[in-house]
Amino acid sequence: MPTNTYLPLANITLGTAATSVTFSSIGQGFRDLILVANTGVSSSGQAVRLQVNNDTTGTYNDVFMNGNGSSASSSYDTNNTYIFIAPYGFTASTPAANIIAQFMDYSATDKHKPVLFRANDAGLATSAGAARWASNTAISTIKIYVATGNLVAGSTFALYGVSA
Amino acid sequence: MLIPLGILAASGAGGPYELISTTVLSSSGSISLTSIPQGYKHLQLRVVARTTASQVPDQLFIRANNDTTADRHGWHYLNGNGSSVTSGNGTTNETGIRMQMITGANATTNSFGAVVVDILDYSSTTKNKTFRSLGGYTSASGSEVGLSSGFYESTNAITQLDVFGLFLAFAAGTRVSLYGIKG
Repeated sequence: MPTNTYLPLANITLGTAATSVTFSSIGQGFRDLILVANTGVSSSGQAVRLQVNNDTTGTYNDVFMNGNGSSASSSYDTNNTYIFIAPYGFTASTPAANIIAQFMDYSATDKHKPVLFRANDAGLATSAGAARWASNTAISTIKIYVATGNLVAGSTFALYGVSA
Repeated sequence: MLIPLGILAASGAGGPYELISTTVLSSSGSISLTSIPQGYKHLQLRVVARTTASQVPDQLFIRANNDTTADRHGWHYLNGNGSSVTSGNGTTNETGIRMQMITGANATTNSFGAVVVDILDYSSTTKNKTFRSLGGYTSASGSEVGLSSGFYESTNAITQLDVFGLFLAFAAGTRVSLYGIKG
């Protein structure tokens, strides 16, 4: 019997600029999580980063491909202390870029956690990426942040659970 | 700003996105989704996969309606491997669609690839069928991400999807979920 499966879990709207947003105590009753963000960063050239479960150790790996209207490029990071979910600096005073990140099998305790994402800013670039948090621990916290400057006021972040 | 969760999930009443089936392999093998209900507009496959192939990457391979007729399927890809961006296709003698990269047995332990596949207008009897996907993996010895499009040249409604590793069987722990999207 089909069941309804794509459920909103939480929304964050930044009334004022902030360095980070965090979703905590994420319920473990879903199969995947989907993060939908509309944001910008106040400091030029800064990329949007992500960590889970307050893990700041070198357990993150990612690979990207990007197109900026002139050329296509690809980059990767291994054993990093964060994941780039938007590798281009979406500099804007108001939210001008969207990011969709999919955390697959986030609650599994027998595998590392794969993440797929798309990030787009029509005035800058489009990108696609795959990442992995090298831990068998279930994801219970997601932090989105920038290293310098802020996520701009008006940014929105929505977290959805996709049922098993 | 911390937002505590756990009690904010909606009851799930209503909504256009429904789970049809989930299969998690307890041993190596392939997955066949049969008797797919026809009451949706589109389908989505959500896959977390690793194969038994003795290599780092493998590929997700999908065949519609158990149709092995040559030239009935086709695909294109745009991929980045951390150093360069490449594109390719398979349009001749294809018996299925390659829908992006997953891990093989030589990838980092416990690392799986992930792929999300959209199948548009799957139940139409007046259109050929379009697939698209985002997928990729990372491993200590290589990483790749890509976008793919696929084609099934048939106006038959899709009632079966066979999901394989291109080179060898899926490993235990591989998960394939099928969702229906109402239109």
